[in-house]
Amino acid sequence: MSPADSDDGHRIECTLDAMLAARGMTLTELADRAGISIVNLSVLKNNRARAVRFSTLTAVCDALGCDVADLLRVAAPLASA
Amino acid sequence: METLSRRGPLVVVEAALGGLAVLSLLLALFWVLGGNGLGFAYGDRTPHSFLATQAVPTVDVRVLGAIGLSTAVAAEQAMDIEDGPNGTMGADGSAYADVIGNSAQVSFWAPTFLQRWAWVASHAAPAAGLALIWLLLARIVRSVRRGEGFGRSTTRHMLIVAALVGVGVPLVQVSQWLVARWLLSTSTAAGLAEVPPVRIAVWPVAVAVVLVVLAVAWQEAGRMRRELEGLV
Repeated sequence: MSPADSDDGHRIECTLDAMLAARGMTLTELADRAGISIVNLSVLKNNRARAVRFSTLTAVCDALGCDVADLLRVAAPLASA
Repeated sequence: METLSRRGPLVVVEAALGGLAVLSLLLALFWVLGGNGLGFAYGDRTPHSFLATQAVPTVDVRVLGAIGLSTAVAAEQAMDIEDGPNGTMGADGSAYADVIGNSAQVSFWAPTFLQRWAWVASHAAPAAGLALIWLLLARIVRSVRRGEGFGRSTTRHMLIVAALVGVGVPLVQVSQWLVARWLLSTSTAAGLAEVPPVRIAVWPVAVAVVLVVLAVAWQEAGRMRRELEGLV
């Protein structure tokens, strides 16, 4: 589900997919490095998360060697009908 | 659909509740099959026969007037009592006892078809209600196994159990009392005895209030959980 379709009224998009691909890292490896469960990372990766703890953001950014802005962005709004 | 958790204790609890529901339903069925229903089993005349094998409807009554007191009077006369320096006691020194009351039991040998089935219904209802309560509790446990313990259905089931207890129990007590009065009023014992006033227990209402409070708290907990869904 893309964030633009979200029922929660937000357009935050997670670029975890692209970040992992760029680093040749799997979700399992990231889970091991960040100490976050694969289930939660999967929720984040597939844009199904409704809220993210700061501790989760810190751990993921440290494991990927990136900033929050590299991980999360605001998707463009859908064109109104 | 989420898969069911196979954690041991919950499986055992759900199975036990299901078994209790079946047993309670059978108990209700025995009233229908028993001596006052379809007549497949007959028993003694006591009002509290197990498995509802009463031969005929039998109720506890209070016998009115001098007839009612006659047993107590005769018993008092039969006791060899004397007043002494140490108070009232038996002539042989035994402790004084007083026979009181006019209780008796009345069996109705020729109830009408409607009376007989009203009797069966008012006595089968508690067991049937209990079967429903066990079943609802089993469903709640099943919801927990499915990971939906805080779903809206759980709250709904808890409220139904509260209603069955808080309203159902007093309703059954009143209906059994009304049926007993009906039987007595159309029998040869009418005018000689009365059914004691119905005593509505308070505990079912208290239990129902507890369950309603728990259901409301559960509903709020479910709402809070749904707000936290998707939090990583």
